[in-house]
Amino acid sequence: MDTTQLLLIAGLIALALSNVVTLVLTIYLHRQLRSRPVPKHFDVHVDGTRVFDQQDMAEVQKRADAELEQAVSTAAQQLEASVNRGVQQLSAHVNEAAATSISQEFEKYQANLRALNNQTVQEFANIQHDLDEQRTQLQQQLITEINQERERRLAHFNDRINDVVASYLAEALGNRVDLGSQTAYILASLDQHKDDIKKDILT
Amino acid sequence: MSMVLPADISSPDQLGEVLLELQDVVTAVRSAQARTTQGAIEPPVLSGDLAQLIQRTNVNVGDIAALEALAQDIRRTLDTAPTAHILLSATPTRSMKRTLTTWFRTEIDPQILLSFAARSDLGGGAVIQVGSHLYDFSFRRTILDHKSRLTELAGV
Repeated sequence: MDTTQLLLIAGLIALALSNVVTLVLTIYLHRQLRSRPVPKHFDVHVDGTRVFDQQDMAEVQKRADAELEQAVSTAAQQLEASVNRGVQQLSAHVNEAAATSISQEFEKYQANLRALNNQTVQEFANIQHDLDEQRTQLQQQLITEINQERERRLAHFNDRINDVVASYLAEALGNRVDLGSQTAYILASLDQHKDDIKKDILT
Repeated sequence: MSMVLPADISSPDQLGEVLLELQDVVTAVRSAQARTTQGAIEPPVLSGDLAQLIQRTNVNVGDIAALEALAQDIRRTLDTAPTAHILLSATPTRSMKRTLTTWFRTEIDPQILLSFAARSDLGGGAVIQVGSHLYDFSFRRTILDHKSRLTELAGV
């Protein structure tokens, strides 16, 4: 409970107390009025010299009672109005304070939520970036490994194909080779590389 | 006198045999000249290679000095002549050797000596080794250089 709320509650209590005090004072005064010592009065019967007769006294008493009731009623109405006003004001203050407090808390909540949202978005963006980098690295690694494997297999194939071709030629031709028919081809090949052969001989 | 190698003497081994035979001829001629008093001696029987060499070099068989000079030339040739090694798909005939030797001595060096070998998996053509270089004109190399056409061999 913050200071404003405490003050409001204290004010309400003070208001209620003042009204109670007012009421008690009114009742006390009324009693005081009633309990005031009646001055002795001697019945002086002077015929013809009575100021108020009993009927008039009753009337006066009745009017005094009525006025007193009126005064008490008015005081009570005023008290009731004052209490109502106080309650209304207190209620308004409490509502305003609650609204303000709730509004502030809600804004804080929204701000925290926005911050959390932004942080989450940033984290996801970072994760996505890391994933993309890793995927790129893995792809590169895979391509490199595939190329290496392909080269290895090609080299192995080349090694084997050399043997296969040599075996095929040896088996297919056997001893049926005619060197005479190859002479022109061999001499033509030698002519093509004559200069290189001469360079190798002289060095 | 410069020795003129005939085409039939192609390899260092052949030339070495000719040298040995020439040395025997020199010894025989010397002995014959020492025994005879009439000056002329019966010419020794020479092998075809030595006879060709002596004829092409214009050496008198009865001239020991010329024969010894020729022997010296042969030794020098064996020591200094360039060599090439030729690998064929089959053992070459004498005619084939003569043809190749003629080409090398005409186009490359007149004193070059050749050695021949055979390897059946070449398929055809030749592999020439000169110094540290290898010139592969074999059918096997041609097939391997065109692997995409390998299926033509199988008729596919």
